[in-house]
Amino acid sequence: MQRPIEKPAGTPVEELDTPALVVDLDRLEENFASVAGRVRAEVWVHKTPVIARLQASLPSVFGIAVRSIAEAEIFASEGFDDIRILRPLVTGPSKRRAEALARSIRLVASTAGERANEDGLTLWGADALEGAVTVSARITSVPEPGRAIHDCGQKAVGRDHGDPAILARDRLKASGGSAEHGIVLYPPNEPPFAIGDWLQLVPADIATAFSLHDFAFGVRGGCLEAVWPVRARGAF
Amino acid sequence: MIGMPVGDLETPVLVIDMDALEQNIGVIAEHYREKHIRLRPHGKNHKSPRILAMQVAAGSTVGGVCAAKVSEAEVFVDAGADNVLIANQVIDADKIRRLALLARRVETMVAVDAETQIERLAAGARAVGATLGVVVEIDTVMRRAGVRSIEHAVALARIVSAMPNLRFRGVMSHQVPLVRAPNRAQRFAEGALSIERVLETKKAIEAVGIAVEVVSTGESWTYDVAATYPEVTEIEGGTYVVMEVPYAYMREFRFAARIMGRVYALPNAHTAIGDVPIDAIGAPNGAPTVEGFDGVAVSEIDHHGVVLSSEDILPLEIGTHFFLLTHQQDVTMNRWDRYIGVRNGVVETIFDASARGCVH
Repeated sequence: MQRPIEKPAGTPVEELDTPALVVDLDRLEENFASVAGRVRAEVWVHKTPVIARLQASLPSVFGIAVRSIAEAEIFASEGFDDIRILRPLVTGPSKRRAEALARSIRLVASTAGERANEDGLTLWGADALEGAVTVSARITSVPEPGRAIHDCGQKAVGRDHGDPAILARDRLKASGGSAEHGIVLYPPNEPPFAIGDWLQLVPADIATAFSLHDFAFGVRGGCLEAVWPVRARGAF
Repeated sequence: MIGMPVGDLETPVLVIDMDALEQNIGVIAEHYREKHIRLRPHGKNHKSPRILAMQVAAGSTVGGVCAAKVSEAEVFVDAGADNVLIANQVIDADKIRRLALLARRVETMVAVDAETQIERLAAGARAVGATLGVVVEIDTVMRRAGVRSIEHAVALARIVSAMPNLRFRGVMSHQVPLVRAPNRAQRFAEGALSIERVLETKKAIEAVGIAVEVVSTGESWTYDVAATYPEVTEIEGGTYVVMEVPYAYMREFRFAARIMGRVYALPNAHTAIGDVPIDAIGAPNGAPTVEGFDGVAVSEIDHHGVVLSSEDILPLEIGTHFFLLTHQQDVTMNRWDRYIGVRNGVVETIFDASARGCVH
């Protein structure tokens, strides 16, 4: 379990313990306001019940979608009562768990290699979070010109889908070249980095970033507003 | 779950082969038994205080452990580790306060490569009345953190030595092999280059009258190389514990970690889809390797599962279980809050990866 230093609401985002998974709430609400039609929210992307509840309150959203029976159980325990499991259930125990869950909620699941029954709803996935998610980091070492090391490695931002970009220096890629460190390479004409500099990284894949963190920090106007448990992380 | 045949486990699941785990831990413990050099087990690789305790109990260690982050070190100390090296730079006031408080509990060392880090550490240690051990990190081949010159290392050692609340302890360095799958001669040659660079630096620091107690260099792929140098006091070993495909050339170590998955769809005779999503394994160094089925490989992996493909007709049905080997074990282990210890095909124990996610 992640053990960041806890900060009170109102803390400037730059002062959050790094690395931090940060959700821009204004941008999130903007994204939410633009959803149209009849959709099912793919909450496995963020695995975060608070975000799922905000989505479920939108008039276009009819239920949620998860990947596994374990994710379904967690979201059901958080009060969600219309859940589709995208991955077919093939084992006896997982089917029995689904039957048990289906006694108390509406559960759409499929078995033996067939996709879940079409329910006429469009899936609403990572678009919901597009542009709203960053991982903050700090420069810890500047060992030579044009090269800086920061504290957000693969274990905090992921590199399964490629390297993150640095917000505000969008020509720069922050290499997640190792598990614990990130590396920033920059040309000599760029402003140099210094130890302690604060960075916002844009992950190459939002779902991977959420899968690494136990907490997401909701930020509005540059200040911390809420800390949300990523409760279904690891429920593969 | 204890006593259950491994094939009955719900999937996906991270399983640990207990025999292989114990054998791997035993290899370095035995190799170092009658030697001067000690192992400092690195907890970042498995995130488990219990496996650290197994490593320490096997013998030939410094008694303490290594961690990549302050919060990770706290978990290990809470579980009983009585000395810890954070093989990384700690630069912000919040983390330095935690680090200094940890140093009041147990012997604690941290790595530096710049003057400003030293000033910040000293201020943090002074604020809580702690004495913090400091090692200078030396870069040899990775071009990551670490001083780039011997002169810089000597200068930092002097600054640390003169700083109240800090205690200069020595030098550390970390390398990965640049040659892919080196043979023994290549491995020794490459390892020697880095280790000798570290030892040159050690001598230069001693030449200005500063004692160097700790020389921490070498890791799983050079554990035996480092042992040939009387001046090397310890290595930081982690990869060898559960192993990964790119390290298979280290034949004395066995794969101990596997992700077990099950087939949930068969789109055609040559393609199966399994229930291991990419976030359950992590694939920064490429797709995992399928074990046990000749000619079957992972052709694709995403958040919904893994695609297994073969030119031949696949010997798989819906529900068939399979095992995947990781290409970067510490990234994989960090995806799981717990893993299942199995011996002779039967579940024996469950490990809590209590430092999982400790990236602060």
